Amino acid sequence: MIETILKYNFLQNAIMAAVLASIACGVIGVYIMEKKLVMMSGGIAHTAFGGIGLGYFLKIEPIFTALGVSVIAALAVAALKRKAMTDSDLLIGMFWSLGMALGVVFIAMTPGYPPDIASVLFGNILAVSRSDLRLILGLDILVLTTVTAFYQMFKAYIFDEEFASVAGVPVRTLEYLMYVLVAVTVVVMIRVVGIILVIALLTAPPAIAKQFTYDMKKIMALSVLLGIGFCFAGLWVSYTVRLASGASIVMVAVGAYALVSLVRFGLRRRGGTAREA
Amino acid sequence: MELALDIANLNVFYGDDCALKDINLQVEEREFLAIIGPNGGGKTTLLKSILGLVTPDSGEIRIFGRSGEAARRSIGYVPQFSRFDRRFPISVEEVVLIGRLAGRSPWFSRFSRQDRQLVDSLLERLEIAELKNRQIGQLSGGQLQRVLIARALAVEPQILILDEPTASVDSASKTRIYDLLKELNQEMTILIVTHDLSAVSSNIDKIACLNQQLFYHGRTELEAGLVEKVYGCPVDLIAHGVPHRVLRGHEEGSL
Ligand SMILES: Nc1ncnc2c1ncn2[C@@H]1O[C@H](COP(=O)(O)OP(=O)(O)OP(=O)(O)O)[C@@H](O)[C@H]1O
Ligand SMILES: [Mg+2]
Repeated sequence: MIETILKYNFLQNAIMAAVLASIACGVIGVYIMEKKLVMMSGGIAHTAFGGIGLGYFLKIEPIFTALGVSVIAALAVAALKRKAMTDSDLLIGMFWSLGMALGVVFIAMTPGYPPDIASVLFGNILAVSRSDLRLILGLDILVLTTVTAFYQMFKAYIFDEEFASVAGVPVRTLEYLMYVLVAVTVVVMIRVVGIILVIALLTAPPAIAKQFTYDMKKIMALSVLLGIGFCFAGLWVSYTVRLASGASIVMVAVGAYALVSLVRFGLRRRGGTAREA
Repeated sequence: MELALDIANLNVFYGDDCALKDINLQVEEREFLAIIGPNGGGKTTLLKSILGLVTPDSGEIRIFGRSGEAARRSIGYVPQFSRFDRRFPISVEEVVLIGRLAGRSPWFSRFSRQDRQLVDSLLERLEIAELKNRQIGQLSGGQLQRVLIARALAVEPQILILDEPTASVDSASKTRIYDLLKELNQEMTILIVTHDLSAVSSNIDKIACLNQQLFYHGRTELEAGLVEKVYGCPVDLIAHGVPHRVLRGHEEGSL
């Protein structure tokens, strides 16, 4: 396989994309897990489809419009959550479908041959271009800088919003910022696993990592490594069995989670130590 | 002496329900005030108004003569219920360090050696130093309560506000926490909500009885049995389920 990798540009790009995407994904995945933003992330991912459609319709690079639309959707959910007395859950449900609907409409209105929607929905890491890589790298830098700058503040906010706000931590700003980070991360992942499959890759690595340590930084680092591992393993599976890359990656990730949980469950039963699940 | 807290004509509604009605309350610097009252009497609401967590419909709250966000930086808060996830990946030390974020610029906050030393000494003081590196979920209720007190103290507050801090603490620890509060009272003003007056009785300067309105606010001379006179029955009854009758008795002046 090494020979093939060296021979083909698209494989090198795929590997770069796997590494870069896993960085944002692993770090923000921990926030998503701890702040219970899984639904939110799913909603944002699906509104991104509206952005993709808009891009095709306006003849702009779809990934940019996806970024714009999902950031706006994230900010809108954050704002509406405060203003309207609605559960953000309900709002997310509506954004979720509305985004998809808009995407479908825009694509239908686009003249000419319909674009390859499957790769947007399910990802195609083998089709990542140089310019995609540059965008992913830029977004990675953005995510890492923000998380580093506000690391303690984010931790205080996610852990106990009430106390954080009493201590003068700018919880509102942090909330908006976090939603934007989620939107950015989702867009980073679209090329790799696509809109529909992104949730598994945001959640499985942190969920596994948390079983091994209670140190947030370590959970983040481990999530990044696991994400990279899953992407590589998924790529290999997809290459050898000739399966879609996005689907392979997700199956590897969730399979690994199941395996780790089962093994730990077995060990705990045998060890018999009392430890809350 | 300067007023640590000055509340004037405070009204708080939740929707159409009035939780606090026309509250006027002055707390002097280094005073130890106990707030008592029945469940749903508005004690937590009062504290949250002071902390800016609840927005009053009218009235004014001044902290050391100032109002607003900046004035609240001098308050340490121990909540009645902590709604955080006990499985959150955070250690005891990290939780207490959060108190050190008070008044910091949000950019690139790092904790200094002094911050960590202060936290160490607080953990020492609350007798939980050996739990420093434990994950927060691996503590007993009483241990967690002490961590939350340490977190409030890490703010280095001038006013310490505690909402039923000893609800899940055994009686020996309770005594120690009250001893500690008495000691802290040398340096700071203390507001405590409690159903457990007999335990704080030796510490407190004043009590406030709250049930939507402020029914009584004044000095206590417990040896003269004042608290019992206020309620018309032993205070312990407040904790045991007949609060409304007790307070109505007081309202009607049928002492
Ligand atoms: N978030 C809220 N929304 C609506 N009503 C509320 C809210 N919080 C409190 N209330 C109402 O306001 C009143 C005062 O509540 P509060 O929590 O201040 O009482 P409390 O004195 O702290 O009671 P307890 O002794 O049970 O802690 C109660 O009638 C309660 O139902
Ligand atoms: Mg209360």
